[in-house]
Amino acid sequence: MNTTNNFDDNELDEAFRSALDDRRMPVPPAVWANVRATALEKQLIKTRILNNWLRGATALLAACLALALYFLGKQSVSPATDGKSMAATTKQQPANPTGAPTNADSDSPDKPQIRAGLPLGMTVDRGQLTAIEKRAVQPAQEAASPTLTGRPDSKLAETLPAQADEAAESSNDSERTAEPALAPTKNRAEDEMPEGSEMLPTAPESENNLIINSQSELMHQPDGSNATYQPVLMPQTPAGAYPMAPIRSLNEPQTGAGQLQRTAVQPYSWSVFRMFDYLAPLLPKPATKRVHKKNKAGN
Amino acid sequence: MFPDNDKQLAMSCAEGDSAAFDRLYHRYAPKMLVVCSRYARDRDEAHDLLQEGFIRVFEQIHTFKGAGSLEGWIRRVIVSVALANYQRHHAERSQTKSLSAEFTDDDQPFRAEEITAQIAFDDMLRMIQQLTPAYRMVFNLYVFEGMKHHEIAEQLGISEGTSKSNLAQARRILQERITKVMFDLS
Repeated sequence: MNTTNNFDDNELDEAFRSALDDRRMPVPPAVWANVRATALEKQLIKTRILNNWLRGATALLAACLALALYFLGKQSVSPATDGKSMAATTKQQPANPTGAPTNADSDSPDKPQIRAGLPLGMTVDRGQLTAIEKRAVQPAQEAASPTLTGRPDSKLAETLPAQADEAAESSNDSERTAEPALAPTKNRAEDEMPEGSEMLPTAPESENNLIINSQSELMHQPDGSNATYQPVLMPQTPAGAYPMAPIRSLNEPQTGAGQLQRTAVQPYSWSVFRMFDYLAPLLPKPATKRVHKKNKAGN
Repeated sequence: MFPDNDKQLAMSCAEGDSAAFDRLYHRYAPKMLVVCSRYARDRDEAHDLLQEGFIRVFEQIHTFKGAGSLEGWIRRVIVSVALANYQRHHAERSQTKSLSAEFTDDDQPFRAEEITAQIAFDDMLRMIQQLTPAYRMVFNLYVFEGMKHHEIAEQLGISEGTSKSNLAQARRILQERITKVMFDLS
């Protein structure tokens, strides 16, 4: 048991234990400062790690939110896409049965290009205007006998049918006399109607029933010297129906001839046309009726 | 007002109260520095052990359930840090170092009271610090921590026989030095 002659092991252990246990030593302040600094550093590292995790979670949530918004937006856009597809399918419909020139017809090289000689927004003199108007209106006159009128002193009147002058004179008492062209659209079917009978408003046969309307074609300048030619395609309406709003001006930029216009017309023809048809008996009759009656009286 | 109860103090530290941790440090650091000095080679290493030990205390204070004394818990944390430090730096060395000390036969045995009365605290601490790391670790764990040889062997990753041998060699070295000091003093 004893390893040496002088010591018992237990005495040695007890001597060290009693000498060193429960004793205190002064601690230098630098140790405490280092402890605090190290503890703060470790806490900062933990906070940074937690911050990184939170950033990752936030980024993940943001990505999920963006994805959800993307799909929601995609679902809300899908009805418009359906409208486009409907327009694309109806574009394959047969040509205009009335033979009136449309924007779609202007695609073919055989047909005269109404807009070919008139750059967008171009201002021309009266003399040049006559030639441009002749060139632009001629196909429409041949096809659907539209009324294209201008101011009484305009040379444009020479190219118009006689009923256009009558229409211009008859509309002097109306509110639109100051406007250059107020002659309403006259349908070929209306001419063929027997006297005394009134054409009831009916649904349009097709959205292709477009004729040239001169209502807003001549935009006279304030000085009266120049005029801007803005031919407008109007949907062909039956007599007595409320005049339709112009679908699209030809002076508007066109990328594909007639394509954009037809895409825009298609939902319009399905919804607004029918609405006007149903509301037509309730609305006040436009000047077209008076012109028609005057024409009949003149006849 | 700082809590005097160890459990409340530990709870305050776990809640992140820096003032409570300051109080805990200043209450137990002087005692723990002695513990660290026993396991360390010198004073600087003791300070490093104390710093690392109290950082570990700060990190693990929430695990203190109040079953035992807070001082004992802190001491165990400090000892575990010292063990980790030993395994990091000294485990590969001096485990089989032979004892070169020569013992002298003396007819007059020394008692513990005589030793502590004649040898200063710092000298006794220095004697322990001058042991080789393996001897110092086994001596500290067996004498001061009350561990058995199989526990020491498990903690240090050595065999139980090596633990017993290292303890015997540490005792012999300490006896030699104490004897020398006692004879020098007498």
